[in-house]
Amino acid sequence: MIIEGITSVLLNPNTIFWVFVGTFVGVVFGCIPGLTATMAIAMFLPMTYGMAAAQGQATLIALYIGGISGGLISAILLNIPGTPASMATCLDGRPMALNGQAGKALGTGVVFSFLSTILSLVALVTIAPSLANIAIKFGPWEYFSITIFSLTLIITLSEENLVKGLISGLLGLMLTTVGLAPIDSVSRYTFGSSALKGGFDILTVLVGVFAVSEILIAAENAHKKSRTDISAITDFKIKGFGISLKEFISQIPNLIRSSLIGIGLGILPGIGSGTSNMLSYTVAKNQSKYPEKFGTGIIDGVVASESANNATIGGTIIPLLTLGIPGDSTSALLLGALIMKGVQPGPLIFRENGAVVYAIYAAMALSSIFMLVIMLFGMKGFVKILKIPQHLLLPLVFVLCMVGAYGTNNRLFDCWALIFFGLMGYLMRKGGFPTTPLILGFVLGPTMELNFRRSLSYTNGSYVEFFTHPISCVFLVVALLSVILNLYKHRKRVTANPPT
Amino acid sequence: MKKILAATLALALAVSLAACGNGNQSTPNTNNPGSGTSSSTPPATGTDWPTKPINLVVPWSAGGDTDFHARTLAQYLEGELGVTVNVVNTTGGGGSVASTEVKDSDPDGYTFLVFDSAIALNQASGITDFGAEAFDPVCIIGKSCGEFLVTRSDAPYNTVAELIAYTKDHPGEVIMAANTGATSYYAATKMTEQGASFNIVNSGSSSERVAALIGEQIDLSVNAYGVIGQYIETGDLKILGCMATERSETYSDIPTAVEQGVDCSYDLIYNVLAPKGTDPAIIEALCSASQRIVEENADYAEAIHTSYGELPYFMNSAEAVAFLKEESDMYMAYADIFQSAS
Repeated sequence: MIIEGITSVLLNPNTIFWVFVGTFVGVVFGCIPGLTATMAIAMFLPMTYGMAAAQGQATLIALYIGGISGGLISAILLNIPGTPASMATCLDGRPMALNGQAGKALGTGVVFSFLSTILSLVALVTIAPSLANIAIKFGPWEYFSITIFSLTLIITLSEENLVKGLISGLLGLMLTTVGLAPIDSVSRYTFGSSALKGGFDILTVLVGVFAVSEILIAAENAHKKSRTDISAITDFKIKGFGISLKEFISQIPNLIRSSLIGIGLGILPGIGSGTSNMLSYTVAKNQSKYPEKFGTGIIDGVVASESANNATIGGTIIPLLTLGIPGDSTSALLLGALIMKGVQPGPLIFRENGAVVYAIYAAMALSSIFMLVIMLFGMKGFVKILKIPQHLLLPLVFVLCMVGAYGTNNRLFDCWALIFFGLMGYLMRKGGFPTTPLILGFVLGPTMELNFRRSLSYTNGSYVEFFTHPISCVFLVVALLSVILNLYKHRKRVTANPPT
Repeated sequence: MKKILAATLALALAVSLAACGNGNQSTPNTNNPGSGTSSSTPPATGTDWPTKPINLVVPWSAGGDTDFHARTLAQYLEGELGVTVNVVNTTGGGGSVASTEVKDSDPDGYTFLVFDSAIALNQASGITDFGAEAFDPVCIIGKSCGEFLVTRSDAPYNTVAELIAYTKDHPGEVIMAANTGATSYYAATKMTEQGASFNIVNSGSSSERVAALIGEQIDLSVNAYGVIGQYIETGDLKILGCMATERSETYSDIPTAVEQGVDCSYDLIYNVLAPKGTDPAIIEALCSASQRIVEENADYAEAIHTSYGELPYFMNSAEAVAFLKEESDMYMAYADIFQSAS
């Protein structure tokens, strides 16, 4: 069965072809702001109806891996994360590009994306069932406490102005309340509009706040003489993978730590994908001997973010296969594709459809190799994007963002939302508000609220159980410690370098 | 190098346009620039319809059961009708975003809603202020194998009737997962009416409920067979009864709650609805095309059986109108309870 599954991918030229196509299309979708892995999979899903289960899953997994990996290109070159998964990549990737190290940033991102995908695959193959058992022990209390802990990242992501960072994070949380409330489906802030009942899509918020505001700022700077012309300062020379062996070795602990964070958060449905890159970036920064260099353009930041987001793929697939619980909209599509083929994920999937499971493993390995090759070959071309004059490139990016916003839900409302969030992001940046906390708040808000209300309905309104469940209690205590520690560090930093 | 770059950008643009084209086409309210004249064309008559692509709007994301029925039907409708049939996923608001859009769209015979029993549940729980009566029903294209009341194997009751008796002695002790505005809430309400006493909690989607059941956070859940089948086989879970009106042929050994003397039954159906005012000739044409697929196409039958264990099930427009009315009345009778739960 193991052999059957693996050979169904590796010895079938047809499947290999589709894995290649999937990886390639995934990378293209991932690197174009506004287009995501989720959209690519939704597009290919109907095509897989006619394929065998193993081949269809292999194609979709390839799209997933390509899509998550491709996101680093636009994050580094344009300061526009394609998905929430590569948000933290912007933080150091973009400064590296501005410092003339675009090629190095890309090379680092690609290599560590590859390695962490493989690490998460190893975790998936070896300990999937026992990890799934841990996930089952997580009730609403645990989920709530983890989101609270994750929200403390806002302090680190706030850069120098804590108050503005908190405002930004709160704004993100508030935006999630638009639409139908969790559990009781009460309409909130819909003003009688049926379009608002669906709430805002993460894509319109993310792309609006990051991409559209970036375009507006570039347009504004075009009239200033002092603008930094990135096309003039970029050095395109790329040697090999872009990083030296010494640098590579020095990043191995970072790779392992970030991958573990990625896998760990990946197995928790609803929290994984958007959060793991920011958490591992923050941890890398806090554990570093030179935290002050983070954000100025060092490979540590890129490694932390890109290792974590790819490792999350393997993590997400664990509850998907062993419990049938999709962690995000992307894996929900993978689940749908399995069920349509009569493959029911669950504790017996290894016995009943083992061949499909091993085909998924083989496809993950094959696709990550294709991803490495495609992206390394493409790198020299990608950096050329920086050579395109901004007045030509950015309008094109804007059009693609609009197409992507429309494509998320096939309605114009999302295009208007995109413009709205673009203006909001622009005003925030002009006012010196960091935008990353807003996205973190928006990603975590629904999970936090839903599980808070669930917890209270389980206990008929008692708050005590948040503390009597051991894992939940631990995370609340860690959250408290994290707040105290980070506030202390922040204070020390600000008193050392008072903001001018 | 410039040429390569231009080619790459052109490719990127083409791919992105394809992405857009997949979800063909615009929202029902919007004029499609490609075929431009959707709102100014005179109402089509039965004879020349269809002359352009048809959109089936599904209120859930791709990959779910309703989406699957829409896509499988669309695939064979193309052969029957000779035009492209697109499935458009417009999600949000528990399905209300899509149902409102289709309801308000131009009844030109090119936009239809493929929905399910949630149309009635949305109205009963106050998410929408309209039900299937706001549409011209085309047909009902399928019925699920029903939902099953499931618990852990170590529970001290084995049937729905025993469960109700048990909760009478242990009021509020049994934790039942039920989502407001969903069939599970209807089941909980009906059993409560007959003397049961649960602690009703929200535990999310069907697979999340199963995980919560295995993880001993809840004691009772209502699920389709697919999600729980493996746990029945491993002996972790047991089924107390089937909630459908009659035994499913696929799982014919599982008795219904009604057979156990408990008055609680509902069916989950998949319906095709047209905006009010659609030409009756078009509805008739789409209905009979769908009927040929559901009742005569062996590939269609195999697809729905492989994925969801279903057998072909069809109701024409007149039967659908009657069924949807009955379904709406059944849930609307509990609208007050559904809405006070919030």
